[in-house]
Amino acid sequence: MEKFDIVATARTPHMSFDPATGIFVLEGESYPEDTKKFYDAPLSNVYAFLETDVTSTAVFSFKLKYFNSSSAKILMDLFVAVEESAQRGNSFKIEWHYAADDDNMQELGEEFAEELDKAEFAMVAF
Amino acid sequence: MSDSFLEKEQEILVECEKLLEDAPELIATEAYRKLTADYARMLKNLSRLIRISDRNERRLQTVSEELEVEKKKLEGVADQLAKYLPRQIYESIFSGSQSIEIKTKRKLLTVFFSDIQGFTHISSVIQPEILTHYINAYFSEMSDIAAKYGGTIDKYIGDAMMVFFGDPDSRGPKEDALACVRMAYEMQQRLSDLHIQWEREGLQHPFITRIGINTGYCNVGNFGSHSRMAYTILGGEVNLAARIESKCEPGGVLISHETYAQVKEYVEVVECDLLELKGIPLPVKTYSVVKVSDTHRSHKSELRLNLAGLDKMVIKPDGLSMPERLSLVARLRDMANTLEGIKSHD
Repeated sequence: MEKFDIVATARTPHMSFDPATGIFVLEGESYPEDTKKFYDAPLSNVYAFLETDVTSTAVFSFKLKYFNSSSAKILMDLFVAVEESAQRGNSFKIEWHYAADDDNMQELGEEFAEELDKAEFAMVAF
Repeated sequence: MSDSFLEKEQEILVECEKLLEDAPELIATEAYRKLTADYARMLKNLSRLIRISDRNERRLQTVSEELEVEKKKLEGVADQLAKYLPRQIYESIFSGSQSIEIKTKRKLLTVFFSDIQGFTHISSVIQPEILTHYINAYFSEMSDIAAKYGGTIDKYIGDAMMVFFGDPDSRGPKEDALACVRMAYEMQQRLSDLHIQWEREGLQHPFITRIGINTGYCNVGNFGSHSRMAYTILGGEVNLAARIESKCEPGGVLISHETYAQVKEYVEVVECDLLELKGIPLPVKTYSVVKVSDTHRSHKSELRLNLAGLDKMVIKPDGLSMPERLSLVARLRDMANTLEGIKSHD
């Protein structure tokens, strides 16, 4: 379970995580050449974190402009794992940032929110 | 996407199959409930993915349509801009072979200058609207001929025109020079025809042009500032072409010795007296073009016709200056047109 900070590229988002603070950030556009290869290694740290007992509220922040279907699958799996961790008693806040004029990203956030019960999901327009 | 991308879904399937295989009668309610929940989640995810995929497709379509509109807009602008640039330069910039930076190179070019004799006077006696019509028609006709021969139209300066051959494309010094002289000759031929047509339309002051051509090494490339530049040519040889043009007989084509050396096998000329030109230290040898041939052969023999209805006609091309020759050609063509229009008395 390591801290990481991956810079964005034209096809991949900025992704960072610090297990000490429980802050996870995913920002930008996501349509990697190989989605699984891009996300697997860094997210294994996040999944390991979700298995632990989180002492304070962990904040997972998403600010995406565009993501492809395979990235969506990654996100859905992550939300399920977060929800399961929350059901075990850990405290989570998911912030879904979307451009005020981006109806598409707003709708996607609302759909993902449906999956979450114990974890808090906040829609944040910018 | 590899199979392991759907690892969790595969695990659920394996679990179901194993349960059915091993002990279907022992499937407990709890296990069945879990499988049902997992299946429901998978179904929801599938449905969500389909929606995301559809949304992305719609977005892609929208972006694609927007790009198409922008592309058409840019193409329209580019087409308009192209008219302000030499065609060859525009094409080389758009193909990426021409860099947009302040940079020049020396190349052997054949440079053409033309202007209209007495244009200042003409513009003072013709209505501006009429003048605009005819000057645009003149430049259109001349530019079409320049394009036909592959000349790079550098610029129009008032009533003057500057064209060069040998950049950005060159077919070799000889071919470039010959193309330039052929172009000049055809321009004068075309103008002779246009004089008759325009005179009939009411234009009282024909556009009679002087043409000067020189071949030599010039600096060619982008000149100007980083914010505004022009692809043009500079150098003593360019100035020489302009000076030669100023000494050309109206209606003629005057070429330098350097140009003549490249084209002499195809061109009939009259050697002129040495010219003292402003800004040029030494007297310059020039040649007045009489005729440009398609082959090496010259055509100096008399042309005789002895037909019914024609009293007698002997044309002696040898010794005729180019303007005289072109004028004669135009008059003969006019006579032929008139003859065609006369009704038969049969």
